[in-house]
Amino acid sequence: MNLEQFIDFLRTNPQLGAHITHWEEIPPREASWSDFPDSVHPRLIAALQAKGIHRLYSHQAEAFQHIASGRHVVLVTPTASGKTLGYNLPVLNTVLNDPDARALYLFPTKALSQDQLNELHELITLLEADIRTFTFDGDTPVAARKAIRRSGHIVMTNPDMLHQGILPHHTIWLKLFENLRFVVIDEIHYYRGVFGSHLANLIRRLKRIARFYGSQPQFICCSATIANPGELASRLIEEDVTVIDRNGAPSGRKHFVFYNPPVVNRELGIRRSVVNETRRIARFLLDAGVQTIVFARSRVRVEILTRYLKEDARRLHLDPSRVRGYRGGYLPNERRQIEQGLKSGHILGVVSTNALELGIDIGQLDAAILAGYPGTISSTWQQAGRAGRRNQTSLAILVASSSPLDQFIIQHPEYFFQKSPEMGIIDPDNLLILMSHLKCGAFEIPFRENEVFSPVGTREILDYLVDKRVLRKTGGKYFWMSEIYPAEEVSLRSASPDNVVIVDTTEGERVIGEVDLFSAPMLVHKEAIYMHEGQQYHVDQLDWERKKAYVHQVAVDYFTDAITKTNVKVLTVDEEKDAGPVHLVYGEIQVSNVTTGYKKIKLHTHENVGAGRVYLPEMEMATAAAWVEFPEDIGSQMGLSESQLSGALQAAANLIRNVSPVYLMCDPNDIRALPMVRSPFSHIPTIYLYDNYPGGVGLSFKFFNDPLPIVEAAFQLIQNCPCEAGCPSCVGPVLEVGEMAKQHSHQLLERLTQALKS
Amino acid sequence: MGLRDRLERLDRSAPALPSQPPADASPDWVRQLERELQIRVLHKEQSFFLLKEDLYPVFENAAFSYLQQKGFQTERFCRLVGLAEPRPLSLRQAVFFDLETTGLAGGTGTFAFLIGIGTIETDAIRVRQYVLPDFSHEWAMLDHLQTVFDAYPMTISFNGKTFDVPLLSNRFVLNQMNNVLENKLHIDLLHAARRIWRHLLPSCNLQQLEKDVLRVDRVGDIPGELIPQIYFDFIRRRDVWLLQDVLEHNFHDIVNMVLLGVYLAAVAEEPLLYLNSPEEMAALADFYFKRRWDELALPLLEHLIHQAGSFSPQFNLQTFFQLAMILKRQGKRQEATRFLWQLLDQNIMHPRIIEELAKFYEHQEKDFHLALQIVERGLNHLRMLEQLERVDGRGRFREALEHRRKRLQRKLDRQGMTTDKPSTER
Repeated sequence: MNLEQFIDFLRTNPQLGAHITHWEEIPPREASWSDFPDSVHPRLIAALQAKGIHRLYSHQAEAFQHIASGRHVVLVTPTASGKTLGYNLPVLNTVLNDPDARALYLFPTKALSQDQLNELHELITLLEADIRTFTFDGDTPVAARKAIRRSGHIVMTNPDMLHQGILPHHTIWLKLFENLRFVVIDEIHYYRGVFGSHLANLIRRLKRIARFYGSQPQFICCSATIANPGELASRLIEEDVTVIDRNGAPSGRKHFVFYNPPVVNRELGIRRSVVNETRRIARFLLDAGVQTIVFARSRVRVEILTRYLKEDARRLHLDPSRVRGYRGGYLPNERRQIEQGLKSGHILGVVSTNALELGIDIGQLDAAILAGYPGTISSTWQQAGRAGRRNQTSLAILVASSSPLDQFIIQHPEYFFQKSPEMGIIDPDNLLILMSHLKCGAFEIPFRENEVFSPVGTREILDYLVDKRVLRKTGGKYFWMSEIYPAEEVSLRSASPDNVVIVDTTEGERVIGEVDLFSAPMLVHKEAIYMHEGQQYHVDQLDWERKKAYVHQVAVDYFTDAITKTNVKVLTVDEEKDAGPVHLVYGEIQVSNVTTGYKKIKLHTHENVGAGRVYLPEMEMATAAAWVEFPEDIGSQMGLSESQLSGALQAAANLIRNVSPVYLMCDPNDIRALPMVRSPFSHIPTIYLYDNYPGGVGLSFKFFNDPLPIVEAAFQLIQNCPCEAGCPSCVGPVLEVGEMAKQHSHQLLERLTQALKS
Repeated sequence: MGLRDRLERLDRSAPALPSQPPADASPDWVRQLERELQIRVLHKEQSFFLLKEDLYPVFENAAFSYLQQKGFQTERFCRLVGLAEPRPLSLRQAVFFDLETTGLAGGTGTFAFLIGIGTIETDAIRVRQYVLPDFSHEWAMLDHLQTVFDAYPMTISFNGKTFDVPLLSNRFVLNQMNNVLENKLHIDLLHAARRIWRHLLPSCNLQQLEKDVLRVDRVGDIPGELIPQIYFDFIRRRDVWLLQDVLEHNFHDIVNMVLLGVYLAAVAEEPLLYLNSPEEMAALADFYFKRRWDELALPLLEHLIHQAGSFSPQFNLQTFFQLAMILKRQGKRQEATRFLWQLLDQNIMHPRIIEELAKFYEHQEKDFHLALQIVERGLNHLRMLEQLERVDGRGRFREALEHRRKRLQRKLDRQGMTTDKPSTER
């Protein structure tokens, strides 16, 4: 059975077919070719021809022409459409003609720069030119750094390294900055919300330093499909940007299938598990020899599915090493090996977290199974895009979980297929973020009195920093006056970069992987079963101080699932005000996440076979929050039961969170809204809105100062949303908030709007 | 609400500070500097900077007097500081320098607010300390320093290779000036000092060296980590007295650095005269030996060998072995072998000694029998160490010895078939 036959089987098999809720067929597209533009260096053409590239896709040629005429561009084409060549071509061409020219490539992760380095090396080897490319990140040996600074033509790095390691030391990067012709920013859709706001300021600093050395680099951005790539790119680099989105790469016919597992408990609405259903489908594909990628929502699920599929492979008389897991926490070597195995075809099935959603080169596969809705439309397209070889049919299957969001998507396919993907929103002038980068900028080069860094606020913030004795203003300039190295105090990402290392003590001591600090209490607490490549390990000890987890190999018939609890505690009330009957507060809260215990879950049957307690420190985050306190008797005023009020508050919180990215200029992940029927602080119905960043970044503050537009927008959204009783775009899926929540939250918001207007 | 208000309310990191208008650099203040600290003010266009100049007379310093007689010319200093190309140096052609900075983190936001330089006069050290009255005047001070540095063909520092040189280079680049340090010979005394005292002193910082090597006591010195904050207070409050401690600290750094340089140069010329202990001599000999500067190592090793009776066998091992190797390089193989046997006779059995001796008898003397005996002896020794679990990375020796033994055995077997030459038993 091949893929085509499997597709027929899927269509006709009553067992599977009954649960397919939607079948979308996306027609194939012919390639659109262009000849090499005249100005491409003959040696470059020869090298590409040696690689089997005799013509360019139209979008590559289009990008080349725009770049040649000096424009900043953003390339928006799907995975595997030759985006990389889109920027390597103009860069290499420039360096061939001018060996002094330099380029800086920015990738969101270290793994990506490594991957791109290999690809570029290959091309340069064919070119037989002395073009030096290096990655420069935390792993770069100190001994190599000097040579990279002096003679690297193309330096590949990530925003964090640019922020802390390159810009504050720009004087030793003289050669790079004096000759900086191109800055390539790949995967710009990654830079949304707070991270994107940081990146925009980083680019301001980069441009400022380039200007100091007399260079004016051209920007080449690449993006996956999002709603507003041109806008996002031009906000990130603060230049006019030409959008190139006419994809010239061919694609085969694609089948996109929505699959809803059957209901097993009608009263509770519980469906068969997404893991088991995914396994069932993947097994058919393995049997058919169809190269398949499975995306799972969590690391634990990746491991369980890997284990199951390895078992299935054995039963199908396939070498189990042809099924692999892939996720963050595997060691780099192991990852390279898996990437190679996928490209060579040795690996038939890979189970991955969204780690493979980004542009790591694994070639194209035949089928993708999404075990659970990835959460956003653009991620879903990215993941589905991993399947699809040139001119060949491909298949993507979304297997829904029982979660309200998944159930909504699976039942409303038009929502997914017709709605445009998410927007990339950033706010480069967010006061706190801007201030952090003005400090870094002043450290790098003193600011002139009339210098414009940001359209608003530069002067005011600099003067403020003078008062706080961080800067000194003298002779018409602002100078850094502190012993502190400011870039070290500013983290671009919310997650801590620390890791817990996992040490296997079965035979000697061997490091087998790592896990980020935040997830460690959940994944490698004492007595946990940690899984790696399907192999089980028992955690003997989690040494929190030394950041090490000691494990040994076991073979047991269960896995563990951590039980966690989130608490909110009010630390300070900084400001408060009354608006009619509601009370608005702004202050600092502590959000803590603690792993309290775990369940033992039997493999295959997934029944609960035991539990245990865990004693670990809470993962705490102090952050800024704004909250709305409703009158204590709002429930009875509105004639709602407590559970109805809970649904209404949840619905209102979801609405506020859904509309606020546009008003607060952030990504939905940057903020959290937390409803409480009885808040532990005030004991009255409350909705907390907090910044999902340690210390806060001023998002909830904006809400506190001017809540009305957001509340009104939420109110309008609920009025205009055509859904019957709730959907993820408004109050949330009905299953989450309840049948009446749309109506009740409508009333609640009406009252809130009136109160705020009073 | 104004942006300022929002900032005040949002910014949780900033401490509440009493507002205090910064004091200006008034003419009164300048007069005070001149009067109290004997500082001169140098003007350049609209900018100015401060200069304090002192002469530190040197007397009763043996190394200094010795070099004085040579006109501060040294032939061998270049070797001690590790220059690849030998060349005579004159310490009077060097500018010694040391920076006081606004932080230790490095990066372009760290300023050198005090640049102290020391030069050698006939019987004194001239110290010039340049002080930045405020950040905006940096260019004027650097501009002046360019001409000062230009007058000297080389610079000398203590730990300047990693700190002072890159930092000062940053300042020149940042002020869009020519970097005078680039392409100028630079000597870092820390590296030379480490060659001698790395294993002999608890640390090799300047404070340790001035105490234990130069035997100078510093009293009332301020801790280095306070210096940045003192400077920030100084420019904010314009209190001239704040500067005094920093100037003094830097003054001693410069003077002691010059004296250390002079001492090291004297050591380079006459190590037997100026080094105080056999351990120092052995350390220096080791450095020369590893660089294969045999003519410099030889006098030190010969001196140590004469006193070998009073040292421990472990200490002597290095001296004898290095001497033997130098003799071997000079073609005096018999003599070399004599030293190696002396070690073996004392039962000092480093695998390298075994290896050298075995090589000699195998390849030079063709005495395979004796060579084999020596190899066996070495292997026995290694086996004993293994039993005591004290192998520490000698596995590769064992492999090499085993290999040699097999080869010798083969050669002996072949020889046995042709002649029956008896070996000279020792």
